[in-house]
Amino acid sequence: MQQRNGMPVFVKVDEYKEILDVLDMIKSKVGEIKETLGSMNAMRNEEDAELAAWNSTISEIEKKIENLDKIMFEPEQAW
Amino acid sequence: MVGFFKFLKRDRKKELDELDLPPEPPSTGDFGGDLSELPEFPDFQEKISAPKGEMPGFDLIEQKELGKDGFQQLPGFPELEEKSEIMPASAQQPYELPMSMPEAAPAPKEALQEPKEMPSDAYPKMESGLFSHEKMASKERPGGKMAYIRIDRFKATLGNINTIRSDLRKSEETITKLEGINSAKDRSSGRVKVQLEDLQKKLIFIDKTLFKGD
Repeated sequence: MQQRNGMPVFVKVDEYKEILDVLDMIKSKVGEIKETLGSMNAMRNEEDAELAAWNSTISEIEKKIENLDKIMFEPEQAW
Repeated sequence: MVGFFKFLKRDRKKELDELDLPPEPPSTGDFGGDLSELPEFPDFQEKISAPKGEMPGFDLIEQKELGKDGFQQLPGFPELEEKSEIMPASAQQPYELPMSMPEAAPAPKEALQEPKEMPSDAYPKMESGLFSHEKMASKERPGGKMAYIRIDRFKATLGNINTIRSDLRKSEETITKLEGINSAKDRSSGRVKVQLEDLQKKLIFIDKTLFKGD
């Protein structure tokens, strides 16, 4: 397909209204996907916060275990 | 061989007198038995005649309005223009497909306004506003006639569709990766749960062992 003398060439579009409807549907689907991505981001942030809290808890447990270890293997100093 | 087709030739020797007699007519059966015994028709005394009053004449509208020479007053048939003689198919030039929009479909020209020139750097923005003017045109086009789009926009649309298709493929791959990550997370969290339960049991054992003396 070429353009002669700079005249615009047009292409006939069959079932034009259906294409518009499908485009609207695609737009709404993209909006839904965006919402889902937003909720996934929020869940990931919550997960990160939970993981950070868990990490601190595990660190505390580790410290206490070390303390217990010291107490249990150095009884004379503890008494 | 010649004698074999002899039966096809007419026998010209026979004269009219020598022709066969036609067969007898079929018998009339019960009807034709005694035709002489049928009763004679009765004689009518009064003669049947048409009514003496004059019949009303027909008032023909055409005759009234047009008169005798009415048909001559009608306009004659228009004379057709003499067309050139039909050329043989071999002499005719091959039909060329029109490269521009056909003139027989004037609706798009009326409905669609002349689209503005698209800037070259507007490719990513075009996805949202590509069909906006076409939507407006569909509102202006009440009868749902044929729609046409410019070929450069059509090509851009095809390119956009291909881009969207590849992006969707990437999204599917991303979803597959996320599903793998989630399943790995589930496995590791289950393992951590088991380890924590084991740890808790051991702590309870230490606790019992340490404070058994009391």
